[in-house]
Amino acid sequence: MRKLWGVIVILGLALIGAVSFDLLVSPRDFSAGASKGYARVVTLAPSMSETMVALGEDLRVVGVTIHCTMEALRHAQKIGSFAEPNFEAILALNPDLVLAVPHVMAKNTLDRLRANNIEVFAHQPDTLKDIKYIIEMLAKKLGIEVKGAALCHAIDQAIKEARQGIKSRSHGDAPQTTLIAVSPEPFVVAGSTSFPSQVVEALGLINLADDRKTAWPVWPLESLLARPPMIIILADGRESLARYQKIFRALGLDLAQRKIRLILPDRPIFQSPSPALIHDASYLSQLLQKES
Amino acid sequence: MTEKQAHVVLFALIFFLILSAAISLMIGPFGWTSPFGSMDSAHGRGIFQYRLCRVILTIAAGSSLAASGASLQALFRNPLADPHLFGISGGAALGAALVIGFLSEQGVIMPSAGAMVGGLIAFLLVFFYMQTAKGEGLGHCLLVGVLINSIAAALITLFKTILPAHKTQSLLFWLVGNISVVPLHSLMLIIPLWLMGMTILWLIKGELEILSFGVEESRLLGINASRMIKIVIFANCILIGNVVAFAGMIGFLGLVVPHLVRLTVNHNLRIVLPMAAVSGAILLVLFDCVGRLSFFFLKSEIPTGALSALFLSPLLFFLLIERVPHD
Amino acid sequence: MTRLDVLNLSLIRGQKMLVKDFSYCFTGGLVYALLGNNGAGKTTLLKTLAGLLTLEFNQVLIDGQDLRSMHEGERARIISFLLQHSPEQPYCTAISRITHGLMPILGFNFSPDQKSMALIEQVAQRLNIQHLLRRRLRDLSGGEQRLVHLAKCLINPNVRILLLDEPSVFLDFSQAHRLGHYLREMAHFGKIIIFASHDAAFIENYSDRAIKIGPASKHFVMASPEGVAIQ
Repeated sequence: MRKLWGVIVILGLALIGAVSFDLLVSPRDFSAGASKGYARVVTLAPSMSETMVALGEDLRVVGVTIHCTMEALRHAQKIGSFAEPNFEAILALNPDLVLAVPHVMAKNTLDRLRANNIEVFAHQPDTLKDIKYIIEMLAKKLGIEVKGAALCHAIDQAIKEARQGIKSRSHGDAPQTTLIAVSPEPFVVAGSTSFPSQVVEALGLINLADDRKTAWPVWPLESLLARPPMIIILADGRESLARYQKIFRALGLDLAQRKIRLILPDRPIFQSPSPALIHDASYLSQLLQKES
Repeated sequence: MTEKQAHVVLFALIFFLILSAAISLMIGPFGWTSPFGSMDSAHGRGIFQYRLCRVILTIAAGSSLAASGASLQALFRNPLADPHLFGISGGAALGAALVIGFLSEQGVIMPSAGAMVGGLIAFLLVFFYMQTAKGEGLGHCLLVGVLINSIAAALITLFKTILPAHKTQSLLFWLVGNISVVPLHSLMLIIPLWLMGMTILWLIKGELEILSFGVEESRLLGINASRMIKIVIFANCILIGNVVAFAGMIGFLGLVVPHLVRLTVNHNLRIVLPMAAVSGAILLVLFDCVGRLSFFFLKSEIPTGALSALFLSPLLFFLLIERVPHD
Repeated sequence: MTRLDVLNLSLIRGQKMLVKDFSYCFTGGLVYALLGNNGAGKTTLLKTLAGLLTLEFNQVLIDGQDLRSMHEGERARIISFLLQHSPEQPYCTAISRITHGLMPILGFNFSPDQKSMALIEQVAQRLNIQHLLRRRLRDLSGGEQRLVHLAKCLINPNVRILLLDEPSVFLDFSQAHRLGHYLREMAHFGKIIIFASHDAAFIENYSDRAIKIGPASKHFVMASPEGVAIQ
């Protein structure tokens, strides 16, 4: 009986301790947030950094992830990885805006940043619409709506021009089916709700991976044999060719015999859901036009 | 070593723990600073809150794992007994994996909630098996635990192969075990659970010591053996489910720390249990410091779980071959 | 003087009836030996008297109190039992093990204070194991371990009934001698000592009464002065 009381007392003390801890130690600085100049921006995803650079605002960026290797952001402090951003490192930079992709492992960090009165802008960049939305919102926050609109326009323009290039070459042929391979093992392709697929379809191709449920489905290798696309785009670029070839060989998939066209960019494309896709779109268009 | 000497050592260890915690509060991703971060930071209190939270959680995790390991090694009379034995951590890991893999789109359910639910289900499975099994069946409920762990491991491996790359990375990160940011309101659940589990183990450490001589011996000395076993399992489930929920799978600590204590200090559970708890806390705090300092050099923190396995395995080997002599 | 009354006790193991309608009165001050072939039921009888095995009401009475209605804590305070086999326990020192014997009366989280330490040392000296107190059980020889377990049984000053299953196993001549004398001394204090044994010499030298457990309904009691006729 006495033991039970002991346990209850300790639990009560713990509860009191936890509540008072929250009250006493919680940050109460309201100094931050007064200026809306956003002079100190921290990005928790490479796509966000690329967007900032594309908007010409690289000088405002004070913190980036370790994945961010852009020349323009060399001055920025590294604050951890995409999967595990370091909360204290972010806080130490005293940011007034944090740009993030809201994945599950970062949620606690983002909440805690908000609790510390740091503004967080988080949006999942899966589709073209998402990417443009991010650009617009960011531009609005930074007070550069014109640049933002121009960037969105540039994206649309790039896709339009890319499409023109292909249309002029294909002479009204039936649209070709395609798969955008993102990883060899497992064989992951870009689903129709992903931004590479949207770009590719805007270029006039039909993505075979049209299931709207997942953005990056694992494509069954059997389907590759039974219903091959006319074009396979290797988004990873030349460096991954050997691995794909090994899979095709093991599968018994003879690309030449089946008349499947392999599009092999020299550098990886569609790596990041950001304005970088402008270059990817035109590059892809060139590749598609080459042996048309 | 007499009991009096052991008590002195215990107090020394507690003092050392406080010292380690104080040191930990001064370490940040940019090196040695005051507990409020560097001088010009406007977020001093925020940083202090983060560090204090982290230290408290690390102490909770380290002490839970080590005490749990000590209690299970006594209960099963097996030096290889480990807190992850009962399937609780397997169930918890599976719960978290399910959330990370399939339920994270909504963004509402957190992996720790999944871990808690998974751990609870695993516990209920083991518990109900024990209720229905004839006799005391310690060995049997261990089998249930092993079964749960195997199924969980198989499913998690399956997830790793079918999930997209970024989710797999999140899952791997979660599985290796790391203590980072935790929502403040979770503390109100985590701390009482930790204290409850530790208090239960503290209160029954004498009975547990006798229980390690067998069920008959315990009954002869007036202990309700089957009830005591259930209490020990319950306490372990609370402790381990809690730890796995907020810190992921930190392995090795629960297995190794009781051995370290036994090899250097004493053998009786009444001393080993509290000493293991404090030592486990100290070790994990130190590992956490190393992990946080590693950010300074590598721009990325080494997860605590990885550090724990890395440092503790050679340490145990070293101690075993040294063969510390006894008085 | 303690009294242990057994009334119409039948012992069944599995399908086999070991003992049928056994009635006896054990009194304090005497050392009783249980003999019989392997599997005859010596251990079963001892365990039943300790309350480990199932029992009906009013079959075993200690000083008039029904064993069945006592709960385990009470039983542990007045009955001490030495098991035939102790499970292989890798982590315990001898002194801790002996301390267990005091826990039914002093609580399970108790640490030996000065008085208890004196008691422990006293018992250890009687059994000549005082130099082994700080050692781990697993480092001791079979006989030394046995003596530690015996010390644990003998240390409780309030114990009224001592039940020992094969106490002289593993012990050498002088160790058995010390034990036998100690048991006689305990009996002089009014305690009931009942032990099961194969050891003819031990039974002959240190017991007052012998009870043979044979095929059902063939057990009998023999009063024996110094020499025990074992039949």
